[in-house]
Amino acid sequence: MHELTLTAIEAAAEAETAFHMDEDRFRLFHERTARKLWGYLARIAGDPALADDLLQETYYRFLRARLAEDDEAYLRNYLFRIATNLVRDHWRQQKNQRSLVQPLRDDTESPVDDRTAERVQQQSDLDRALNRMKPREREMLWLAYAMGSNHKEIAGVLGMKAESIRLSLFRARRKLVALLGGSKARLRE
Amino acid sequence: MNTTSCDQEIEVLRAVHAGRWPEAIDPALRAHAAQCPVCDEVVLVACALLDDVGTGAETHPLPSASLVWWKAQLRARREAVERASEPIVIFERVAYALGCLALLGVSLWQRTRIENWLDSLGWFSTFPYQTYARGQEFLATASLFTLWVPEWTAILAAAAGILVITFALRLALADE
Repeated sequence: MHELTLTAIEAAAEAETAFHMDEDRFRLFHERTARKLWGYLARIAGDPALADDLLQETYYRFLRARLAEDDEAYLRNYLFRIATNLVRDHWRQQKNQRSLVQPLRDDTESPVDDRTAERVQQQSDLDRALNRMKPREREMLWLAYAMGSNHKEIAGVLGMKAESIRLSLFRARRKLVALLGGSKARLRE
Repeated sequence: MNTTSCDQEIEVLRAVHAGRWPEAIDPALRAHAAQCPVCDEVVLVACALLDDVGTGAETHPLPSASLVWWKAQLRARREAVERASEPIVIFERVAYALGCLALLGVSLWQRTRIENWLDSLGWFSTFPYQTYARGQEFLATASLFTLWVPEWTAILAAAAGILVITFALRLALADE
Protein backbone atom coordinates (compact mmCIF):
# COMPACT_ATOMS: atom_id res chain seq x y z
CA MET A 1 0.00 0.00 0.00
CA HIS A 2 2.92 2.34 0.75
CA GLU A 3 4.11 2.18 -2.83
CA LEU A 4 0.90 3.91 -3.89
CA THR A 5 1.99 7.24 -2.41
CA LEU A 6 5.72 7.25 -1.73
CA THR A 7 8.45 5.16 -3.26
CA ALA A 8 11.50 4.20 -1.25
CA ILE A 9 13.57 6.62 -3.35
CA GLU A 10 11.18 9.47 -2.68
CA ALA A 11 11.21 8.66 1.03
CA ALA A 12 15.01 8.67 1.01
CA ALA A 13 15.06 12.02 -0.76
CA GLU A 14 12.62 13.45 1.73
CA ALA A 15 14.72 12.14 4.60
CA GLU A 16 17.83 13.75 3.09
CA THR A 17 16.19 17.15 2.86
CA ALA A 18 14.62 16.78 6.30
CA PHE A 19 17.98 17.45 8.02
CA HIS A 20 19.32 20.94 8.39
CA MET A 21 22.97 19.98 7.93
CA ASP A 22 24.82 17.64 5.61
CA GLU A 23 26.75 14.58 6.71
CA ASP A 24 30.20 16.16 6.64
CA ARG A 25 29.13 19.06 8.78
CA PHE A 26 27.32 16.76 11.14
CA ARG A 27 30.46 14.64 11.48
CA LEU A 28 32.43 17.66 12.68
CA PHE A 29 29.65 18.81 14.99
CA HIS A 30 29.32 15.30 16.45
CA GLU A 31 33.07 15.12 17.04
CA ARG A 32 32.96 18.34 19.04
CA THR A 33 29.85 17.62 21.07
CA ALA A 34 29.24 13.85 21.46
CA ARG A 35 31.55 13.13 24.37
CA LYS A 36 30.34 16.02 26.51
CA LEU A 37 26.74 15.41 25.54
CA TRP A 38 26.99 11.77 26.57
CA GLY A 39 28.63 12.80 29.84
CA TYR A 40 25.85 15.30 30.46
CA LEU A 41 23.14 12.73 29.73
CA ALA A 42 24.81 10.06 31.84
CA ARG A 43 25.26 12.46 34.75
CA ILE A 44 21.79 13.94 34.81
CA ALA A 45 19.91 10.77 33.84
CA GLY A 46 22.03 8.68 36.17
CA ASP A 47 22.15 5.75 33.76
CA PRO A 48 24.86 5.21 31.12
CA ALA A 49 22.68 2.79 29.11
CA LEU A 50 19.87 5.34 29.04
CA ALA A 51 22.42 7.99 28.04
CA ASP A 52 23.32 5.86 25.00
CA ASP A 53 19.68 5.75 23.88
CA LEU A 54 19.07 9.41 24.56
CA LEU A 55 22.25 10.38 22.70
CA GLN A 56 20.85 8.96 19.45
CA GLU A 57 17.44 10.48 20.10
CA THR A 58 18.97 13.88 20.86
CA TYR A 59 20.94 13.96 17.62
CA TYR A 60 17.92 12.79 15.65
CA ARG A 61 15.70 15.55 17.02
CA PHE A 62 18.51 18.03 16.52
CA LEU A 63 18.89 17.06 12.86
CA ARG A 64 15.13 17.25 12.26
CA ALA A 65 14.77 20.65 13.91
CA ARG A 66 14.15 23.72 11.79
CA LEU A 67 16.82 26.03 13.11
CA ALA A 68 16.92 29.73 12.46
CA GLU A 69 20.61 30.24 13.17
CA ASP A 70 23.79 28.58 12.06
CA ASP A 71 26.08 29.73 14.85
CA GLU A 72 28.07 26.95 16.55
CA ALA A 73 27.26 28.09 20.11
CA TYR A 74 23.56 28.34 19.25
CA LEU A 75 23.56 24.84 17.75
CA ARG A 76 25.37 23.41 20.76
CA ASN A 77 22.98 25.04 23.22
CA TYR A 78 20.03 23.84 21.19
CA LEU A 79 21.43 20.30 21.32
CA PHE A 80 21.77 20.44 25.08
CA ARG A 81 18.27 21.86 25.43
CA ILE A 82 16.90 18.87 23.54
CA ALA A 83 18.93 16.54 25.77
CA THR A 84 17.65 18.24 28.92
CA ASN A 85 14.04 17.98 27.77
CA LEU A 86 14.45 14.33 26.82
CA VAL A 87 15.76 13.44 30.26
CA ARG A 88 12.94 15.37 31.90
CA ASP A 89 10.39 13.61 29.69
CA HIS A 90 11.92 10.33 30.70
CA TRP A 91 11.59 11.24 34.36
CA ARG A 92 8.01 12.26 33.86
CA GLN A 93 7.31 8.92 32.23
CA GLN A 94 9.00 7.05 35.00
CA LYS A 95 7.14 9.21 37.55
CA ASN A 96 9.87 8.69 40.04
CA GLN A 97 12.76 10.99 39.55
CA ARG A 98 15.96 9.17 40.22
CA SER A 99 17.89 10.40 43.19
CA LEU A 100 20.73 7.97 42.87
CA VAL A 101 23.20 8.00 40.04
CA GLN A 102 24.70 4.67 39.09
CA PRO A 103 28.44 4.55 38.86
CA LEU A 104 29.69 5.03 35.33
CA ARG A 105 32.36 2.40 35.46
CA ASP A 106 32.53 -1.24 36.31
CA ASP A 107 34.20 -1.26 39.71
CA THR A 108 35.44 -4.79 39.28
CA GLU A 109 37.92 -3.64 36.67
CA SER A 110 41.36 -3.42 38.18
CA PRO A 111 43.30 -0.23 37.52
CA VAL A 112 46.30 -0.76 35.30
CA ASP A 113 48.61 1.77 36.88
CA ASP A 114 48.87 4.29 39.71
CA ARG A 115 47.60 7.17 37.59
CA THR A 116 44.48 5.21 36.57
CA ALA A 117 43.89 4.09 40.15
CA GLU A 118 44.06 7.69 41.26
CA ARG A 119 41.58 8.78 38.59
CA VAL A 120 39.18 5.97 39.47
CA GLN A 121 39.31 7.07 43.11
CA GLN A 122 38.64 10.68 42.08
CA GLN A 123 35.74 9.60 39.88
CA SER A 124 34.08 7.59 42.62
CA ASP A 125 34.41 10.63 44.90
CA LEU A 126 32.73 12.70 42.21
CA ASP A 127 30.05 10.04 41.67
CA ARG A 128 29.20 10.03 45.34
CA ALA A 129 29.13 13.81 45.51
CA LEU A 130 26.97 14.23 42.41
CA ASN A 131 24.62 11.47 43.58
CA ARG A 132 23.68 13.66 46.50
CA MET A 133 22.86 16.70 44.40
CA LYS A 134 19.60 17.64 42.75
CA PRO A 135 19.25 17.02 38.99
CA ARG A 136 18.93 20.77 38.34
CA GLU A 137 22.19 21.39 40.24
CA ARG A 138 23.97 18.69 38.26
CA GLU A 139 22.68 20.17 35.00
CA MET A 140 23.88 23.64 35.93
CA LEU A 141 27.31 22.51 37.09
CA TRP A 142 27.86 20.41 34.01
CA LEU A 143 26.87 23.17 31.63
CA ALA A 144 28.91 25.81 33.43
CA TYR A 145 32.08 23.92 34.20
CA ALA A 146 32.27 20.99 31.77
CA MET A 147 30.80 22.86 28.81
CA GLY A 148 31.95 26.36 29.71
CA SER A 149 28.52 27.84 28.97
CA ASN A 150 27.74 31.34 30.23
CA HIS A 151 24.76 32.20 32.42
CA LYS A 152 22.55 33.24 29.50
CA GLU A 153 23.26 29.99 27.67
CA ILE A 154 22.58 27.92 30.80
CA ALA A 155 19.31 29.75 31.31
CA GLY A 156 18.32 29.02 27.71
CA VAL A 157 19.11 25.32 27.99
CA LEU A 158 17.43 24.82 31.36
CA GLY A 159 14.50 27.15 30.83
CA MET A 160 15.42 29.37 33.76
CA LYS A 161 15.78 33.10 34.19
CA ALA A 162 19.33 34.28 33.47
CA GLU A 163 19.33 36.42 36.62
CA SER A 164 18.73 33.43 38.87
CA ILE A 165 21.62 31.41 37.46
CA ARG A 166 24.45 33.22 39.24
CA LEU A 167 23.18 32.49 42.73
CA SER A 168 21.92 29.00 41.96
CA LEU A 169 25.20 28.11 40.36
CA PHE A 170 27.15 29.49 43.26
CA ARG A 171 25.09 27.39 45.69
CA ALA A 172 25.45 24.26 43.57
CA ARG A 173 29.21 24.78 43.28
CA ARG A 174 29.51 25.31 47.04
CA LYS A 175 27.53 22.17 47.68
CA LEU A 176 29.66 20.09 45.35
CA VAL A 177 32.88 21.38 46.89
CA ALA A 178 31.54 20.61 50.37
CA LEU A 179 30.45 17.13 49.29
CA LEU A 180 33.80 16.44 47.68
CA GLY A 181 35.32 17.26 51.07
CA GLY A 182 38.26 14.97 51.69
CA SER A 183 38.94 14.39 48.04
CA LYS A 184 39.50 18.10 47.50
CA ALA A 185 43.25 17.83 47.83
CA ARG A 186 43.41 14.85 45.45
CA LEU A 187 41.32 16.65 42.86
CA ARG A 188 43.39 19.79 43.03
CA GLU A 189 46.64 17.91 42.31
CA MET B 1 35.26 40.51 43.96
CA ASN B 2 32.47 39.30 46.25
CA THR B 3 31.76 36.00 47.93
CA THR B 4 29.62 34.54 45.13
CA SER B 5 31.53 35.55 42.01
CA CYS B 6 34.87 36.90 40.85
CA ASP B 7 35.81 39.01 37.82
CA GLN B 8 38.62 36.60 37.02
CA GLU B 9 36.67 33.35 37.21
CA ILE B 10 35.82 33.31 33.49
CA GLU B 11 39.49 33.71 32.63
CA VAL B 12 40.38 30.93 35.05
CA LEU B 13 37.69 28.65 33.59
CA ARG B 14 38.92 29.34 30.05
CA ALA B 15 42.45 28.36 31.10
CA VAL B 16 41.21 25.10 32.60
CA HIS B 17 39.16 24.32 29.46
CA ALA B 18 42.09 25.09 27.20
CA GLY B 19 44.20 22.62 29.18
CA ARG B 20 46.59 25.38 30.22
CA TRP B 21 45.93 24.99 33.94
CA PRO B 22 48.05 25.23 36.03
CA GLU B 23 51.40 25.26 34.22
CA ALA B 24 50.77 27.33 31.08
CA ILE B 25 48.97 30.33 32.50
CA ASP B 26 49.88 33.81 33.56
CA PRO B 27 51.57 33.58 37.01
CA ALA B 28 49.48 36.54 38.20
CA LEU B 29 46.27 34.64 37.42
CA ARG B 30 47.61 31.56 39.17
CA ALA B 31 48.53 33.64 42.20
CA HIS B 32 45.08 35.19 42.20
CA ALA B 33 43.37 31.78 42.01
CA ALA B 34 45.42 30.53 44.93
CA GLN B 35 44.06 33.35 47.11
CA CYS B 36 40.54 33.76 45.72
CA PRO B 37 38.03 31.25 47.20
CA VAL B 38 35.69 31.60 44.20
CA CYS B 39 38.38 30.88 41.60
CA ASP B 40 39.74 28.09 43.78
CA GLU B 41 36.31 26.41 43.74
CA VAL B 42 35.91 26.99 40.01
CA VAL B 43 39.23 25.25 39.34
CA LEU B 44 38.34 22.36 41.61
CA VAL B 45 34.88 21.77 40.11
CA ALA B 46 35.93 22.33 36.47
CA CYS B 47 38.92 19.98 36.78
CA ALA B 48 36.74 17.30 38.41
CA LEU B 49 34.07 17.47 35.71
CA LEU B 50 36.55 17.61 32.82
CA ASP B 51 38.34 14.60 34.31
CA ASP B 52 34.97 12.88 34.33
CA VAL B 53 34.59 13.58 30.60
CA GLY B 54 38.10 12.22 30.00
CA THR B 55 37.47 9.05 32.00
CA GLY B 56 34.18 8.51 30.16
CA ALA B 57 36.07 8.69 26.87
CA GLU B 58 38.47 5.98 28.07
CA THR B 59 35.85 3.62 29.47
CA HIS B 60 32.76 4.11 27.34
CA PRO B 61 33.11 4.14 23.55
CA LEU B 62 30.47 6.17 21.73
CA PRO B 63 28.80 5.37 18.40
CA SER B 64 30.51 7.03 15.47
CA ALA B 65 29.03 10.05 13.70
CA SER B 66 28.40 7.86 10.63
CA LEU B 67 26.35 5.39 12.66
CA VAL B 68 24.32 8.15 14.30
CA TRP B 69 23.73 9.73 10.89
CA TRP B 70 22.75 6.42 9.27
CA LYS B 71 20.27 5.59 12.05
CA ALA B 72 18.78 9.08 11.82
CA GLN B 73 18.39 8.69 8.05
CA LEU B 74 16.66 5.33 8.41
CA ARG B 75 14.26 6.74 10.97
CA ALA B 76 13.53 9.83 8.90
CA ARG B 77 12.70 7.61 5.91
CA ARG B 78 10.46 5.37 7.95
CA GLU B 79 8.62 8.38 9.37
CA ALA B 80 8.26 9.90 5.89
CA VAL B 81 6.64 6.70 4.64
CA GLU B 82 4.37 6.54 7.69
CA ARG B 83 3.28 10.14 7.18
CA ALA B 84 2.58 9.58 3.51
CA SER B 85 0.52 6.46 4.09
CA GLU B 86 -1.48 7.89 6.99
CA PRO B 87 -4.57 8.88 4.88
CA ILE B 88 -4.69 5.41 3.37
CA VAL B 89 -4.54 3.77 6.78
CA ILE B 90 -7.43 5.98 7.96
CA PHE B 91 -9.42 5.12 4.83
CA GLU B 92 -8.78 1.42 5.42
CA ARG B 93 -10.00 1.61 9.00
CA VAL B 94 -13.14 3.48 8.01
CA ALA B 95 -13.78 0.93 5.26
CA TYR B 96 -13.37 -1.99 7.68
CA ALA B 97 -15.74 -0.37 10.16
CA LEU B 98 -18.34 0.26 7.44
CA GLY B 99 -17.87 -3.30 6.21
CA CYS B 100 -18.55 -4.70 9.67
CA LEU B 101 -21.65 -2.51 9.95
CA ALA B 102 -22.77 -3.68 6.52
CA LEU B 103 -22.36 -7.30 7.53
CA LEU B 104 -24.38 -6.75 10.67
CA GLY B 105 -27.07 -4.87 8.72
CA VAL B 106 -27.36 -7.54 6.06
CA SER B 107 -27.64 -10.19 8.77
CA LEU B 108 -30.52 -8.29 10.37
CA TRP B 109 -32.15 -7.54 7.04
CA GLN B 110 -32.04 -11.14 5.88
CA ARG B 111 -32.53 -12.64 9.30
CA THR B 112 -35.58 -14.71 8.30
CA ARG B 113 -33.68 -16.36 5.49
CA ILE B 114 -30.65 -16.96 7.69
CA GLU B 115 -32.88 -18.34 10.42
CA ASN B 116 -34.60 -20.70 7.97
CA TRP B 117 -31.28 -21.82 6.61
CA LEU B 118 -29.90 -22.47 10.09
CA ASP B 119 -33.14 -24.26 10.92
CA SER B 120 -32.72 -26.48 7.92
CA LEU B 121 -29.30 -27.41 9.26
CA GLY B 122 -30.91 -28.29 12.61
CA TRP B 123 -28.75 -25.70 14.39
CA PHE B 124 -31.53 -24.23 16.54
CA SER B 125 -32.51 -27.62 17.91
CA THR B 126 -29.20 -27.80 19.83
CA PHE B 127 -29.37 -24.14 20.99
CA PRO B 128 -30.33 -23.51 24.65
CA TYR B 129 -33.87 -22.19 24.85
CA GLN B 130 -33.19 -19.01 26.90
CA THR B 131 -30.38 -17.79 24.70
CA TYR B 132 -32.53 -18.45 21.67
CA ALA B 133 -35.44 -16.44 23.17
CA ARG B 134 -33.17 -13.48 23.98
CA GLY B 135 -31.78 -13.64 20.47
CA GLN B 136 -35.28 -13.56 19.06
CA GLU B 137 -36.10 -10.44 21.13
CA PHE B 138 -32.96 -8.72 19.90
CA LEU B 139 -33.67 -9.59 16.30
CA ALA B 140 -37.25 -8.35 16.59
CA THR B 141 -36.05 -4.97 17.93
CA ALA B 142 -33.38 -4.76 15.28
CA SER B 143 -35.81 -5.53 12.48
CA LEU B 144 -38.13 -2.79 13.74
CA PHE B 145 -35.17 -0.44 13.50
CA THR B 146 -34.47 -1.47 9.91
CA LEU B 147 -38.14 -0.92 9.06
CA TRP B 148 -37.98 2.61 10.43
CA VAL B 149 -34.93 3.45 8.33
CA PRO B 150 -35.45 1.89 4.90
CA GLU B 151 -32.41 3.74 3.42
CA TRP B 152 -30.28 1.50 5.56
CA THR B 153 -30.24 -1.14 2.88
CA ALA B 154 -28.70 1.22 0.34
CA ILE B 155 -26.14 2.47 2.87
CA LEU B 156 -25.24 -1.05 3.85
CA ALA B 157 -24.87 -2.13 0.27
CA ALA B 158 -22.56 0.83 -0.39
CA ALA B 159 -20.49 0.01 2.68
CA ALA B 160 -20.18 -3.59 1.60
CA GLY B 161 -19.04 -2.37 -1.82
CA ILE B 162 -16.36 -0.16 -0.25
CA LEU B 163 -15.13 -3.07 1.80
CA VAL B 164 -14.86 -5.31 -1.23
CA ILE B 165 -13.03 -2.61 -3.24
CA THR B 166 -10.59 -2.03 -0.36
CA PHE B 167 -9.80 -5.71 -0.13
CA ALA B 168 -9.37 -5.92 -3.89
CA LEU B 169 -7.01 -2.90 -3.90
CA ARG B 170 -5.00 -4.28 -1.04
CA LEU B 171 -4.61 -7.64 -2.74
CA ALA B 172 -3.61 -6.04 -6.02
CA LEU B 173 -0.97 -3.80 -4.41
CA ALA B 174 0.37 -6.59 -2.24
CA ASP B 175 1.01 -8.61 -5.42
CA GLU B 176 3.03 -5.76 -6.90
